[in-house]
Amino acid sequence: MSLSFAKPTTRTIIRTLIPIGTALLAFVVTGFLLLAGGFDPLEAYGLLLKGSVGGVREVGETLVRTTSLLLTGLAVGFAFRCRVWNIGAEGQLYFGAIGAVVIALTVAGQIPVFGVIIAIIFAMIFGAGWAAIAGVLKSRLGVNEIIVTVMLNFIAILFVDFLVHGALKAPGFEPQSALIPLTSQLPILIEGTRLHAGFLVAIAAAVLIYLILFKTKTGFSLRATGVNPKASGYAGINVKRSILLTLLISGAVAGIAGACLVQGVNDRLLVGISPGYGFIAIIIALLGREHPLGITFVAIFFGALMSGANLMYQTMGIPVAIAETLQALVLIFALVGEFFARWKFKEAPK
Amino acid sequence: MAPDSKSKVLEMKGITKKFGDLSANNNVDFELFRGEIHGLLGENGAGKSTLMNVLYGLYQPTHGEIHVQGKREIIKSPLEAIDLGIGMVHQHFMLTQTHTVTENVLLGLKSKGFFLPFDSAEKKIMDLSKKYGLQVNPKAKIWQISVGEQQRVEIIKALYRDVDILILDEPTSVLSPQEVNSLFATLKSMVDQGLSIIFITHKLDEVMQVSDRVTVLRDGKVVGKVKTLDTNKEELANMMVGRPLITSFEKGSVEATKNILEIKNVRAKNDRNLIALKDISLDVKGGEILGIAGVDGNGQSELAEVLTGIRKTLGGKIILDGKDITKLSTQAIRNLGVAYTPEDRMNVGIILEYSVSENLVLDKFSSSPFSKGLFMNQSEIDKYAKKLVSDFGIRTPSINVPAKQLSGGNLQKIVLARELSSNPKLIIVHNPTNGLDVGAIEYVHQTLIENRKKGAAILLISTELEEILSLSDRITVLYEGELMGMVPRAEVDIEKMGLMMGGSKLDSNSQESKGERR
Amino acid sequence: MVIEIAVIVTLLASGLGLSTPLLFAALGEKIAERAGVLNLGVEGMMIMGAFAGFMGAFISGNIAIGFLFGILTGAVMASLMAFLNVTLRTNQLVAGLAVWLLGLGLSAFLYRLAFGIGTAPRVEPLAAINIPGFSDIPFVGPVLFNHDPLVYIGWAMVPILYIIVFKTRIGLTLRTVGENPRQADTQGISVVRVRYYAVMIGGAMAGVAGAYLSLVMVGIFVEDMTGARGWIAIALVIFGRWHPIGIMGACVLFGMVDALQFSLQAAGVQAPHQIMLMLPYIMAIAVMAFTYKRTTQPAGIGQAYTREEK
Repeated sequence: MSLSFAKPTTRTIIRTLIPIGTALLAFVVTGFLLLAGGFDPLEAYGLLLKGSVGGVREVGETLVRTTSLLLTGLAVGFAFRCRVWNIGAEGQLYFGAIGAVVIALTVAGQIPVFGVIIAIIFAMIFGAGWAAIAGVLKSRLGVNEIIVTVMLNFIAILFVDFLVHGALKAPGFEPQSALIPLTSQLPILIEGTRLHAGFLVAIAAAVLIYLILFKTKTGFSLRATGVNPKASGYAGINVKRSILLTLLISGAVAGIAGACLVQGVNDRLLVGISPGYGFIAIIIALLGREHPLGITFVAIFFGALMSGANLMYQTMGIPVAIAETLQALVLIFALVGEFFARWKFKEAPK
Repeated sequence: MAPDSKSKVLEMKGITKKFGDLSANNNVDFELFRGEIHGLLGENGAGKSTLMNVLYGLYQPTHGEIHVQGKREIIKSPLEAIDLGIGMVHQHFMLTQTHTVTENVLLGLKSKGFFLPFDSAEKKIMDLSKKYGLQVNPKAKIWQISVGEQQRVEIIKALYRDVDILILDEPTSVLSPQEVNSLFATLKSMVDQGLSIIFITHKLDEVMQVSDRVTVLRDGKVVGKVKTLDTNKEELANMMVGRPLITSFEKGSVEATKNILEIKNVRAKNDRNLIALKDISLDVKGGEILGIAGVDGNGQSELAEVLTGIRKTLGGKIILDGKDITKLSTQAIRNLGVAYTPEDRMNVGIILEYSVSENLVLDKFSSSPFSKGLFMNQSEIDKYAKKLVSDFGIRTPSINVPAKQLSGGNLQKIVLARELSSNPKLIIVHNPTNGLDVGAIEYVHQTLIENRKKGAAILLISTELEEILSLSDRITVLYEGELMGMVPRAEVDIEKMGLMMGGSKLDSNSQESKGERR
Repeated sequence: MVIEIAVIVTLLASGLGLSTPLLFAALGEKIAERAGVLNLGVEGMMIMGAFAGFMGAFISGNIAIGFLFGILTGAVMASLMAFLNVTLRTNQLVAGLAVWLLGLGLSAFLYRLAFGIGTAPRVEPLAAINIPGFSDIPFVGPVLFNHDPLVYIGWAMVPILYIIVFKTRIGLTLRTVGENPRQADTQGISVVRVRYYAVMIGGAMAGVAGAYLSLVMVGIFVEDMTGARGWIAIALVIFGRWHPIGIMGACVLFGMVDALQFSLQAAGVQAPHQIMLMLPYIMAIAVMAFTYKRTTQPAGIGQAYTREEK
């Protein structure tokens, strides 16, 4: 049945239903995986729901994860929208965390209120700086940013490992930094939860990214450069500068995510501070169609998945990696669904 | 051997091919006799290539039948077409640049044998080369050989597979006049050996010169089938276009003013790191159109890119209205009043995914009134876009639809509107009417003439000799990165042009000095 | 500082050993890229290969069966990749990322499902074989002739692939599909079919590479044990200019760098092990930066191909 006759409004409705439909499909398939593992999928999914939104504390947990997912998702989504394939959000997050903790433990710790903000700003600078390596290589030498950013992830993670065992190590057995002073910590928003003010920063970032991308001339040039660098160059846009700027902004936002993990969740820097947020962010950016609004919704959804998965593990012993698997499956089914929609609507591929 | 009208090697009956709602071919009947060269004539978009792609199995017809050697056949792929003895030389060559001639010829050949039979293949290629007079070097890599030789490789690819019917799609668009004659001689020798040839073109001269019969397509339908001897250019033009062709128009004379553009000893490399421009010096005055003729691949794109700051020079100077712009950025050069319509309008002149209005402000969006500070002023942009759409007669449902929905002619109008609306001093156009229908071609030409009247300096780079001859005040030819002389329009004719395009330097005193031949 | 011969021998020998998974993955990736498919999911195929290989060997007690599982799993993941890339014509990057993340999550999930937390099941790693006569040659012997069979299979693949890719019909077809899919189509070649096969072979080889890690190098499976080797393999293909011999050279070089950290520690050099671990990644970036300007990658890479485009 061809749907090429469908009216635009009908198309938009179907387009929005498809991701939901494909997500459900992913849940079904994962359900089979659970069955194969000897777990009752319905019980598991019930726990998933309970663990994500079942109470104030649970919602707090969901939103804590949403904060990190949203920030990294925005970072990656922004870059992707400008066709710069920044796979290095994880590394930029780690580097931003280094920036935040270093400043928090030194300068910012002395300054009330603003100390928090200064630390976040430094995290942005560090994150942007780390991304700039890939940015310079791509804009000046034309080096593929995908591999470079992936490599930089591992270097950054190892570097943090090195620092918390060495230069930044606090006295004691644990490989972690000292606790950052209270004045640099992000305040908790809701009593009894771990939800910190970083959540508000993330929301603000989403709004800002939206404005930058779609309402400013900078965003216009960055997006145009991504979609068609040749035509943009011919029309006078500085392509090299645009590519670098895209990575700087992207890295800065990922850096904020690092700051939030240091200043909001852990109050210190430690090994493995991020369970791969920067990688999940890739899925979020793609599912959210590289748009801040979509990314926000998906980030909330995935945050719920991750906190729910925790309860599934604690109660039923289901490995936490189920969340990652589910997330990847959602993406794959979404890709299939997207193809299906394009095919039925007879539209050209992206 | 004269065409054998009693022996139909090919018949296409009632072919209709639809793409969505568009009928590219509408109930087309076509027949081919043994030993004839049959011209398939029509302007761009008439459906000629589509019809042949159907024959070659690249497309499936929505309706209709194909009969080969009297038998009904269903051709589902090029492989099946080749099995039936049908070969095709495409307009855009199907050759892999990094592979050798032999490898390109051998690709896809059905035969036993795990290993590539380089030796026997080379021998067979050389035999075919001698038999039909098609000079090729089997061991050469495609990027190393000339365009003319590449075309010969394409022909040999087909001959290697023992085809009886050969389709050539716009074969002369990349050849100089001498190479065209050489190709026609080859075609005549091929039909003498029993082949039948279908020759797709939009050029009336060629059809008259080389074909035995002509089928004319217009808007996907057959509008005429004649013997070449029984017709003439005017009649064919009439059928092709549906109205008499305006063969010349009043250009009027304009007082050329001062030098707007001075190029002094410019050298540049191309993307492959080879020298593309050897030592270019020329001047263009305000109020004149300087035509640069020549087959693509001789440095035309590189010249345009150097002038617009997209490509760096290795040496030399470029002066715009007295100011040295050699090292300036593209944005700076544009701001000084330079406009450029690139040859590849679909991929480089326009961002297809963006809307009409976004494309119209692509070069201006960051300056006022389209932007205030950081933010873009959408209402100003819309106002401007609507004005341009009406001024330039761009046919579009709205300013917000993606540009890819518009026809080629309207896309070119967008580029022209964007480039010319700021009354530029220097206009550089490269193959501005490539692939456009006659109405759009006329429009573009008129626009250029108007801007010439306004005093702009215009650099017209084109492979279409007719266009160069009808618009230019002075003409030069770019051959292998060098300019082959400069001649005022009044003193030029096709033969002289052909010589220049073949590498002979001529100037207005008609003194020949041979340039280097490859 | 006297660098003992023994240290150098160990370095060279283990370097060659460590280069093997890279070699398999890179050669497989090269085949896929020659067909014009940028397979970014290699990492996912490798980790799944590592897991499946381990499971296969653990369950059956036979290393060869383990490798077989690894090959099959790699091919299956690759067919998913091919489906996304070639049939659905998804952006090749997106498909690769999806397959990578799926591989990561699925391997971790299934492993924990099978073994729970806390246990650390082991498999006896594949032993090196002694080639009589050759292994006794001083210096050269231990370096070249004292490896497990897969190392030799890897070396053999280099000339075999070279001949196949450059001297046979299949190779010409493969290369053309990557360079100029339109041309291949007009000569009646099924671009879709060639790409599917190429990607699946690439995936199978990535599976072998992954299985090598779990079955030969350590004998256990650890989440994320591939440590970006799949990504490095992609870089190595570029560094090796898509040529089997160049790729081999690049892999050996990286194997050496990988082995360096162990050898330096053995030689008593005091350096934080994290910095040592960083070396392969830093090298990969350096390599990309220096070879980039002169690359000649298959022209059709990264582009999906459709025939009915007007």
